[in-house]
Amino acid sequence: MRSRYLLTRLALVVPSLLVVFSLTFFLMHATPGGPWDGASTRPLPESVIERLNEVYGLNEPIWQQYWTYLKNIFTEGSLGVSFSRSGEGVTEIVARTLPVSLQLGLVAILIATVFGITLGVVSALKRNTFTDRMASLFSIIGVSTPNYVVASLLVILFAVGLGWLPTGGWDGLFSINILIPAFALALHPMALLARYTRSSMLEVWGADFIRVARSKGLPESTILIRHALPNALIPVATVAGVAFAEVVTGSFFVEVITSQPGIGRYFVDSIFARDYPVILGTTLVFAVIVMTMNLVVDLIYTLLDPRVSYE
Amino acid sequence: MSILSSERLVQPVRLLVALFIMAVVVAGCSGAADEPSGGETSTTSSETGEGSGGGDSSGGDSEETYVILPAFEPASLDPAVGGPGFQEYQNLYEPLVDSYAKDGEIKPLAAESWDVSDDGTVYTFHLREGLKWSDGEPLTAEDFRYAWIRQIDPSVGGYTPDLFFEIVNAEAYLNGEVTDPAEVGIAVLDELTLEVTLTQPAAYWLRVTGTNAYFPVRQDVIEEHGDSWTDPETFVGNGPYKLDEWVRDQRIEFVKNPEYTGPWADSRHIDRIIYRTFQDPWNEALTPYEAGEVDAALIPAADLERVESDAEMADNVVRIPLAGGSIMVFDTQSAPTDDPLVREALVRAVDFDALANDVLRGAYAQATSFSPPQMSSHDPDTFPEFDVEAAQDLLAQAGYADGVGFPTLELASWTLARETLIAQALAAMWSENLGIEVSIEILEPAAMTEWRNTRAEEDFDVYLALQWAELEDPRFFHVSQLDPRGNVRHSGYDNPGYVTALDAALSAPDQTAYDRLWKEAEALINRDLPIVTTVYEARPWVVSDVLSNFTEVTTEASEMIRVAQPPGLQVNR
Repeated sequence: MRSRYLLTRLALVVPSLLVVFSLTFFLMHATPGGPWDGASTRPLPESVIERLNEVYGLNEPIWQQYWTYLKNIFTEGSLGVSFSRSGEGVTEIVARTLPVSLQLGLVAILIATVFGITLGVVSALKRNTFTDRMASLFSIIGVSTPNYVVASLLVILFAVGLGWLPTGGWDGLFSINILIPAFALALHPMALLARYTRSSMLEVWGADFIRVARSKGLPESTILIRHALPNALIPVATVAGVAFAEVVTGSFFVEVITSQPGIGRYFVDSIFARDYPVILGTTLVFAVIVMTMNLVVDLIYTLLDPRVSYE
Repeated sequence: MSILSSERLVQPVRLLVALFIMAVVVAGCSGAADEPSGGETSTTSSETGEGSGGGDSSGGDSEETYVILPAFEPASLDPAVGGPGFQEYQNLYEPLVDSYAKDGEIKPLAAESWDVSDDGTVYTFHLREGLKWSDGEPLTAEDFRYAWIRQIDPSVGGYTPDLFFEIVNAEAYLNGEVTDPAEVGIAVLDELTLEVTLTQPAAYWLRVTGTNAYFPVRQDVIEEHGDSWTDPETFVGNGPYKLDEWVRDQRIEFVKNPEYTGPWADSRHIDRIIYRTFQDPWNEALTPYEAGEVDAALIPAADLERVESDAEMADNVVRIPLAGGSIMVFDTQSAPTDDPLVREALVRAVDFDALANDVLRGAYAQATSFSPPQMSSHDPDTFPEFDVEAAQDLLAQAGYADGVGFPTLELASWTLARETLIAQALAAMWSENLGIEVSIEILEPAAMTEWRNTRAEEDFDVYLALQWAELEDPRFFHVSQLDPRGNVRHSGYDNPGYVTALDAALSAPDQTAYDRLWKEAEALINRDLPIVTTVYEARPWVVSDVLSNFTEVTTEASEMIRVAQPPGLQVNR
């Protein structure tokens, strides 16, 4: 039964999160430096640090802090209060920034899927031609260029040079501000999807059932769209799901370069600032995203390919 | 297996539809809150920063004038918990006095006048009549007392309570030794009169009352709304501007406060100040400036040469000195740097001119004394000059002729681009000019702070750090770094003569004696060299024609404070 498999997987989420939580908690406390180091351009006097530690409960033994934090998650659903954003709850920060990162990620993955699959199909059909080589070159560049380089280049070209697009800022899903960050995030998964689609398509294109379809006299376009593509896209769907999790959790550089109010910058900033509650909160959110996407991919697989089942 | 079934096609289509629905749902969750406030942001893109700035259209009354400036996202707009970082506060609140005037004088703001007792310990402030909050309520001396007590309230956890430690019982109140706020030396004599008692005379204290820590806040608003009182709907301030909008991690907008009647009421030429917030506005604002999206940007050192040779931008570069710089701290308690001869040799072997102008490409100013030139203690005459031969002689006198026998000098620095460059330059100069070996250790900032905190017990040779001063006053450069009774630099410097000079300066009753005593203290530091400033801050900014008089509107103590009020600001938009 699929539902039984689902339940097992869901039951595993809780212990997995607990492991992530515990590792993060003890690693971050073991890292040298504390939340009040570097919070100010001027070093804080002892008495002030002492007071801050007391207010935020950092004077208690570490096991006590661990337990208190864990208890608050379960009893109050509270992830704590940020040290460096005074008075703002981690839950509020996540609620405000995660939708931005999710929207950016969705747009990026849509762009990546549409262009990546098209590119892969064209490469496969025009195998070993100039077009295929160019597409391969593009894929190699796309896979090997870090997204912060892409983002910077797009900003310099389209915002400073041509003046067509703003350098950044967030103005909602349906604004031109989203184009640069979304394309910068999309390039890597796009190239990846193109490679996967190409090889998967080549495999399917030579399969017997395609030859059967062709012998029945079906037009090439029908064979491609109705018979080849659905089968070729099965492995691609799994890659796309994982790529989505990667885009959302790995958006830090692009968010900073293009001033997007997403969660990525909090994830990285909080580590430099030793903002313990935000480190824990964002890490847990990212863990949930990665686990969810893995589960979704596994389930989609059974939908797309009846040969796969989790009985 | 019915692979040829047409159902197979449906699956990818379903997937796409599902993705689309998810996108719409997610957009619906947050889209409404992120609507732009109006036409400002979109019109800006057509007005290029370095362009004509729209000509002389400032006379048009119907058009709202505005500027867009880069800024840090403030931790909070509450002066007690906001910490440092968002200096633009000074547009939202008005303290008792103006400590940042260009001519260095302390000028009246919310306080019309003040009296100081003969022994210099009791300050009586007389508030201006008719002061109002931005919601129209009257502002009284009690609002100041409430705000100041809140700053030292142990349950609030503020970042700047130490700025109140001159006041009787303030430190004891923070530490819980005194629990009745009435025992703290802040008393309300009547609605317009505030009396503050200090533990001892302190000529510098009046200037401290102009800092962000001393802003008034409203008790009833804070008690009613809690932490969210600084939201635009509930925010109440007493400055020339008030909070209009705050989109987190995007922008903060101020508009004129109609209730404001203070000294800057008639010089508010800009209707709306828009701060666009950046993760790191010091390094990220130049690109948006070049795209015409912001009106000012700090130029990172790596871009300075390019900007200064750019025909369009070169004329718009201004330099704004800041009271601060990079410093190097020697361990005066362990060999080899415990020997003053070694320290002087090391300092004389450093070409500070080349450090600021070649290594850092002129983005910073050459250090010529311990404290920066804006401070009265600045004393270049007593600072050792760059002289390689003299340095070699000194090292020989210390027993290390030609560097022979000198142990490897350990230089600790941290992962800030500038500090790394300074560390490499110092190491190169020392090994080239003195023939000694230098090893550099680079640490991540918070790890560096922890390493530094443990130097009270552990030996070291020399490390690099940053030092800023809240105010252009020697107290804020000397005391926290060098006072052996509570400094955080751990240089181990314990010259009793310096402590005497420092105590004398801190309790000096008047400004003349105060300045003279600090100069004496500085001469000792320039002679003994426990801490040496390597470069001064001299931030290069590029500003659009809209802010043509930018240098006039900034203060030397903290850049971009009150960009909109002071005399002489020309708005060309």
